[in-house]
Amino acid sequence: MFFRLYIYSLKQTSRQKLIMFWSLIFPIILGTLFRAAFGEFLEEEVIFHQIPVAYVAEEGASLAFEETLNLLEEDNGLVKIVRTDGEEAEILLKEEKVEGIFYNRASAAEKGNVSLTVTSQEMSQSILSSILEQYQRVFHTMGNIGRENPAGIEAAVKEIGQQRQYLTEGGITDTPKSVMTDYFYALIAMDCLMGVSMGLQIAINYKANLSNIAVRRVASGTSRFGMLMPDLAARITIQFLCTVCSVCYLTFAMKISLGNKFGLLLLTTLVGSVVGIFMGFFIGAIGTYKESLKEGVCVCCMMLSSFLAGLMVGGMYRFLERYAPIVNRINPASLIVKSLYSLNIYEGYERYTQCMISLLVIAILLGTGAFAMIRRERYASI
Amino acid sequence: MAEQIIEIENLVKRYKELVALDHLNLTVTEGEVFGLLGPNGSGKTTAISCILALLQFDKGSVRVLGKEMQPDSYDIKRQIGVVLQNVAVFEELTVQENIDYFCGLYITDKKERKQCVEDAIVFSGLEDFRRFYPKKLSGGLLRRLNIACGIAHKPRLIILDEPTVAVDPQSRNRILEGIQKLNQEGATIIYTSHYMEEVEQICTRIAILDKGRCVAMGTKEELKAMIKTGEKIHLEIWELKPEQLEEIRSLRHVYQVDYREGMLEIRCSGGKHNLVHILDYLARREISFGRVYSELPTLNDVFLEITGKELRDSAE
Amino acid sequence: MQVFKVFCKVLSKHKSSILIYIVIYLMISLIMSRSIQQTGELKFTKVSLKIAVENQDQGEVGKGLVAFLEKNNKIKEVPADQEAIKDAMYYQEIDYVLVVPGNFTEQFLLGKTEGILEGTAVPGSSTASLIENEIQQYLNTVNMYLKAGIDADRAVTLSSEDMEQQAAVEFLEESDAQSLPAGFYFFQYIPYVFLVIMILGLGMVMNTFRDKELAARNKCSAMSFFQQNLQFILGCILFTLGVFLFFMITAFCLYSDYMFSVKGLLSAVNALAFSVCAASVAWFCVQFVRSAPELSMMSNVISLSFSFLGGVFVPMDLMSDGVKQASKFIPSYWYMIANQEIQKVESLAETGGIYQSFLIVLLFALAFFSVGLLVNRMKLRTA
Repeated sequence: MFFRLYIYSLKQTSRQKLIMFWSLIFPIILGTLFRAAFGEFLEEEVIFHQIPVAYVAEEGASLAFEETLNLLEEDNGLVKIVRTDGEEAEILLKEEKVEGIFYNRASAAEKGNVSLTVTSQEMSQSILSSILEQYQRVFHTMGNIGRENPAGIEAAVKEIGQQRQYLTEGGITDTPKSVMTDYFYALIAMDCLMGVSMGLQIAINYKANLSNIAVRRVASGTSRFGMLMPDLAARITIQFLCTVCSVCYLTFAMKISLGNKFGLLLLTTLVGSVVGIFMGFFIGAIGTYKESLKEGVCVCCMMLSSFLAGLMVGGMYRFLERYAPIVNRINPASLIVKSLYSLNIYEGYERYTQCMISLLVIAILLGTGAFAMIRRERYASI
Repeated sequence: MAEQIIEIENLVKRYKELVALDHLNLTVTEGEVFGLLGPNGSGKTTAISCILALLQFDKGSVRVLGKEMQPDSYDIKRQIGVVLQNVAVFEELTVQENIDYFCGLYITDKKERKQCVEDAIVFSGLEDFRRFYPKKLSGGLLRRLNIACGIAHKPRLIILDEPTVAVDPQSRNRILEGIQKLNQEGATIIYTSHYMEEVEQICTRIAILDKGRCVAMGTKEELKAMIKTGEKIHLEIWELKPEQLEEIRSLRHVYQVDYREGMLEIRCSGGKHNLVHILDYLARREISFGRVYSELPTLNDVFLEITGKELRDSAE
Repeated sequence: MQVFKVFCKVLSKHKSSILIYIVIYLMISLIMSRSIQQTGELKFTKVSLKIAVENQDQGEVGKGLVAFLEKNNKIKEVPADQEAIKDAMYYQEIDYVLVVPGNFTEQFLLGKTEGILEGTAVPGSSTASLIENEIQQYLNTVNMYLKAGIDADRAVTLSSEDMEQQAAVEFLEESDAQSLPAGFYFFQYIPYVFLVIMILGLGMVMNTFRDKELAARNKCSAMSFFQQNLQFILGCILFTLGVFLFFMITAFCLYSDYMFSVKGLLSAVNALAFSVCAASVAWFCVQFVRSAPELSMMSNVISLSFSFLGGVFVPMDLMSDGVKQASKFIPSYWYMIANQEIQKVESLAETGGIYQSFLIVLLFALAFFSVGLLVNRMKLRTA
């Protein structure tokens, strides 16, 4: 009996093109979009574009800075220097042909001889500023050495271009992780919660005051739980399979590293799918509102939850942790993200188990809540 | 004596202000085709929902197959087939799958079910549409599918709630014939409709509902015997003086006369040879007349006389 | 005005759903702007992190390093064991863990430099790399002094001084120096929010009208196709204006200073242009949608893809050139361009480039609208 109804439920759900699109295609589209948007960031080394910068040197200005810049242009390809005079530089800057102007003055100004002039505060500008900063520091150091022990200056100069790696990475994890992984974790979380639509369908096919099919089913000779369980099982199966597809797509087609604990990753998505389905089921069980309204509430809940887990804006977790930590503890999508996190970044399973338990508790609460609402077997009106 | 399949006693159901069922009493005996007739909003669907234990009701009791009906009386439910007003099938399942699905909610034995599904498909004439999805079916076929889903498990009691709404005449006839066939095979049938012709055609016993009350119950002959009208005579008369109208009214058995737009309607209570008497009178008065026809009372007349309302007009 | 009246009635039928959407997405955009504003403010200022330091070294360099870090950061104890460290990182009690081994100074003085310190950043923290940079630079400097023959004690103090050197950054205009106003961040997420609301809200109403039988009946009526559509468009304009006003009123309440400036005015105009565009995108999308669930899916697909590709969520700097070229074909890109340009504007006189962006957004609106109209007519003929 269970198995037969389960199979039918599988058939029925998998033929709902729309729901399948939701759960299967949408995450894939979004994953591809992420990949496109963060394309450069995911590469092992971040390749910056050459930053165009104007260089204005007064006569008699120290050549040290110019040499540094030349080095950066030729060896590192970090900047592209336009040598020009003051007025033209300003025009170039205003027309956004260059990102900033380095002024190299002959006479010492307050903050040193070289200054940077910019019009905005974006990434290129902050790179230019750190170039200058580093130069200033070295310049200052050289000055000090010149005063304290002029003989040693040559030895010190040799050190300037040397790359030294003083720090070794502490052994907290073996998994390389980029900031962008967060987005993909959030994507998986959203993928799990896509189950809301399916969960809603369960409620609609189950409550006699919501649909005709439910009336017919309730009037039939099968017990109510006998019909509910296969439905839940089938929807969870399908949702889980969809999630697995997306995860595979991300890992194998998009080549995004989601960690090496694939089994536990799948377990997380399974629990996540259960939460998603129960969430939809819970929303569907509330009252007798129109299906379109409930659908809207479902989608809103899903998007809000994913948003709070950092789907659209990264760093959401840290932001919430500061202002409303409770959200991170009860928001299903955040919990899914966090459990993937603890799985792949923090070794040891304690934190992972904690997240999973929270998720299960949420699933149980939603489940019992929904059961309590639909337990009533006779309706006041149909 | 045949078993009482359904016994409803003093059933009261209120929707806030509206009283949908007002101390309804009904009994249905095994083997009947029991018709529930009434205009829309008279409480037919509500009564059926109560029988199926879908609705909470305020007072009274419903006994089905000799037992109190409860939402979890699955042994009773297994013997009932339901076809509700609205088409309730899965859009995503084919015709055959739908029937098999719903049948499977009643019958667990695989072999038996296979046979049942096959029978239901043949019964509803959907042989050529097995692999069709409901969306592709025409209105009439969809209704037949709706019925097939409800009766596939060969229930002892079949409840049909307006199964012929919005169905073309051919499909309707097929449905009605099918219902009679099911009855002949031994099923008890409850049939609701606001089409009195249908009810007259197939039902062996009829209850007329109005405003949640059962206003009359019996075979159609009994019902018709209940009212005064035994015969209705229509005459086309172009000119009729008021005093002549009075004279017609005073004829034997005539109890109501209506003259409107050249048509005279005379209602007679029982008696024989009414038409002869009237024609005789007209001949004596030398009143010329055109078409003449006489008809026996319909359920509509029954309804009209009991409630003072047209059944037909309040429908739709 | 029959069509218009019905439009309004249908709209008011759906008011609860539409209100839910508006309120939720308003909330989302407020939280987003608040959170992004914070990360934005960090850029040119020094960050202060919570660093757990375990200094096993008694030498000058180790001490000097810790003293240097202490100047700008909070130094904390290193939790007892590995698990406790992970916990502390997990709950963000610390941002960085630095372990200075016992023989650090010794090694350093011997000229062994590679990997003599152990540092661990909290995974996912972008600020942690800044601190690594500081440490590297500091040690580089110390190294230079040592190579120049200056003794360790002196080298440490001098290095610490040198590290205080900052780049002299000036802004061409004074206004450039101000950090971006909160209002700017509010407007940053308008494209996403407007697209969602327009597609859902207008979609719901349009769907009613696009019901097959109803559409056929309307087509049969005596009112011309043009007349009907005109009234319909009037209804759309009403809805668009309503949503626009709702957001502007919110903006006026929260960021009144900003809104009463030239920038605020331009931002509002920008949002208005985009709202028109969003409405016409909605009109276009709805031609392919048949049911409410389809609609909510469509709204998510379109709004998210337009926003990601248009640089609403992820700064355009991060995208590859190919993607950047492609995103020029997306209206939200031009909205974002205008939104950034507006911040550089002081008076209405210097707004040429911005108007150009407005115009492009409106042209997109026209394009989406016309294609939608075309699809609409074609469907009517074939239906």
